[in-house]
Amino acid sequence: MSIRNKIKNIKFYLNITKGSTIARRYFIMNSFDGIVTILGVVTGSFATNIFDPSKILAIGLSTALAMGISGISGTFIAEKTEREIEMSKLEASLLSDLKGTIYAKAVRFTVIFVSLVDALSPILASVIALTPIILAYYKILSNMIGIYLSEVFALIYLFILGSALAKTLGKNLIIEGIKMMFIGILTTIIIAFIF
Amino acid sequence: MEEESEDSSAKIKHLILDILKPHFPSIVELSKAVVANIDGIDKVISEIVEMDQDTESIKMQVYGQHINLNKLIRVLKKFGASLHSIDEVIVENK
Repeated sequence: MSIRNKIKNIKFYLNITKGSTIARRYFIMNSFDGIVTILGVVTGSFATNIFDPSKILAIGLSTALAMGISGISGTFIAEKTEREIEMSKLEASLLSDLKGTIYAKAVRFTVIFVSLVDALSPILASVIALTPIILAYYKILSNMIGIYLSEVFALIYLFILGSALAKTLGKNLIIEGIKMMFIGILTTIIIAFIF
Repeated sequence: MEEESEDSSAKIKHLILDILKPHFPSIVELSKAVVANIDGIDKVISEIVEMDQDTESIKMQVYGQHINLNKLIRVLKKFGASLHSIDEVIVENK
């Protein structure tokens, strides 16, 4: 099967189960979780005088990994159960078994697809936010610039996330982006004040 | 289905089927799959006759030179649809 056909099949499966809407929701929700958590890790490190990039990276990346594992397992179990209930209901309405049908394949694919989106979105968000710290670890940036830039990257990511959400909802891109970024700024201020 | 093996010269030219299916795949996708995957079918006209919360009943008119009913049922099944009844059939001996 060619790549074009595979993509066509994926779109077809997601269309049957409305999986792209679920995946989008998970992507935004978990990217947001990931980025705000990393913002917390970086701000917390700064507030407690931890400037060593290797320590920040270890905490940040292990947190991201934990979020990914929690995401894939939690979503897989929840989505699988939900979809099985939905399919049983449909089988009862149709008075027939849906095993081996395109519908069953689409359901199976969607469960795996949304679980992966759920797992990878916080990891991706975290890695993007931690990129300046990685550069500081390799001495390309100074530790302080790495920390500041990491905060800036996280806030920009939040802005993009807000704008992407606004585009889907047909709202103002800038306003929604700023709203999302504000949550990040608020998180930073709260953590900085507490510690 | 024995009708096709009993007399190979008798060919199904037209069928009207009463089908129950999930909302997705849509009747467009189902109709396209029937025409694309079964030899001997030239045209399909599908219309929704009843819509429920999880399912929909459709009337499918199938036109062709030699419609293979077994294959047609297999494609319907693959799409999660079930054949309720064959409401009309035209069989010709040529």
